[in-house]
Amino acid sequence: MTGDRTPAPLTFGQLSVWRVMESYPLERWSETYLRECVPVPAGTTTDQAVRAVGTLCRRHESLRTLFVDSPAGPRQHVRPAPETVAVEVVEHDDATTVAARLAEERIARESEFGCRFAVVTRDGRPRTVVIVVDHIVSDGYGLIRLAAELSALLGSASPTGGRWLAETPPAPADLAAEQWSQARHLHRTTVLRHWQELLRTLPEKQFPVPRSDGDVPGRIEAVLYSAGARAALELLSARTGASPQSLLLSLSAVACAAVTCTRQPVLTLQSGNRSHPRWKSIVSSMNQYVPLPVDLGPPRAEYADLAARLQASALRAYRMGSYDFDAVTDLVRREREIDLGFDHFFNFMPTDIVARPAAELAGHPPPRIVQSRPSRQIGPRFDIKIRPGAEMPVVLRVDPELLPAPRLRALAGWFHEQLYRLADGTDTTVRQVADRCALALEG
Amino acid sequence: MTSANWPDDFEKAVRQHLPLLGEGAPLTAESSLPALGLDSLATVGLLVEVEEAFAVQFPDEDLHAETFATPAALWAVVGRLRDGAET
Repeated sequence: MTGDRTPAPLTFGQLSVWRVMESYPLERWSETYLRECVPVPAGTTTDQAVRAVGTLCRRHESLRTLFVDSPAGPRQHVRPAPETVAVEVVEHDDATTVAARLAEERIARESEFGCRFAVVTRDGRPRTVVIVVDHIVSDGYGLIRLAAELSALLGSASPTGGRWLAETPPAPADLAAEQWSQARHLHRTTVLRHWQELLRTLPEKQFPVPRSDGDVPGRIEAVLYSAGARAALELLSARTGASPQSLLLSLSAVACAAVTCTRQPVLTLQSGNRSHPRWKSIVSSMNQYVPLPVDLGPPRAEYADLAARLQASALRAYRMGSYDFDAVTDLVRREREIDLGFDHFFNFMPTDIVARPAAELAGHPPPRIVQSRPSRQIGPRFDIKIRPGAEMPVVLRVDPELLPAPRLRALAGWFHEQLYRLADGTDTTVRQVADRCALALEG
Repeated sequence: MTSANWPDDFEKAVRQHLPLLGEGAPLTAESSLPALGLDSLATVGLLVEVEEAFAVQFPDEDLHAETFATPAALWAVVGRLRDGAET
């Protein structure tokens, strides 16, 4: 767990991050860094907090890996656990400000580990540990594990963190060895065939988008917070048998179709690739982008049928979610003479939202929509993310050239209204939903 | 083979993806997989694992909720695909 390793190939997920960010301007890399603030329980000393961070770095190879380019391609080089880990101790009232500052400067992957830590004190007492990681080090799920383990190491009540601490964590280099092994050759070939079929059947104008489309900075964001929309989703899921994920996926497809003026948009799903129990909780970047061609179908069709159809399509797409990015890029270059890019993102993160026939539509606080300029100003031009929580935040991040702020706000409001209208049976067909979305955007 | 008429490997693969099924609790032919915790994420994992373990590939027309509703339904598809591969 603590030794030096021979430089190894990257995992498929690490390679995806490496390639996707390659075309970003260097000064914008830090916009993609993930941040987490972990509360420190009362009675903990600063030394104890710093030692907890050291333990975390000893446990997870991803936190002490250098990423270097080589003639054979990028490599990960796991280094021995250092005697001491660099942890800044800073007196400040606001840990998020400290996190933003830690994330400001680009991390030089070839010479420094892709993580930064600070213990934030107030009146000399440690209150928060701030973690900042390069996306190649961890995705959001990996960060959940890091935060939970750190919380347990600090002495907070964290049963999940405690359970993870009792395990030897899986290592990205081992995953890479498995992914590139002869035993996985058939899977790699199957995925390439799947991409060949996509390229053969989808219109050139829609798939794939040129890589440069996402490279022009400028994004705005609107977040819908609505406990009522969450209840409506749970009720709708129980009524239709469609999963909460596929219902929001179908709404996102309708929204994407309206915004981009097509009935057959190609969405991009972020495949977590954590379905295998061995790698489920690995601290690494596992996400990869998978295209999901959507056909909204006949306008008079039942909306529930569209959701069911998309549920099956998403399953087909996710099974191809773990792949060699370079092989796919080469294929796209040969077939289409462009560099592979992705847009129209959909990412459903809550695992706490389930079908609930007893969900109540009434009695919730009114929805809130918060608009902002996100720190990340580059990447997909149309990006929908559903976060876990009682208010089920629906995060819409877009290029204002595609959707100006007033229309973005209207779209966020449409998600709330539309979930209610589907849940109470007011709207039942694809046409009704599509028309209402178009109306909201005109509004 | 287990009492439910499928190989141990199949039972092991399915059980791994059912967080709500107790360790010693029986997995019957008609057990509801979604009720035992098979969510959309786990479905992908189960699909990939079963395909690899039994050297089959599910065609698109079998990728729907009914296939993953019960162990019997899933095993029926695997059995059909294996038979097809052998002929």
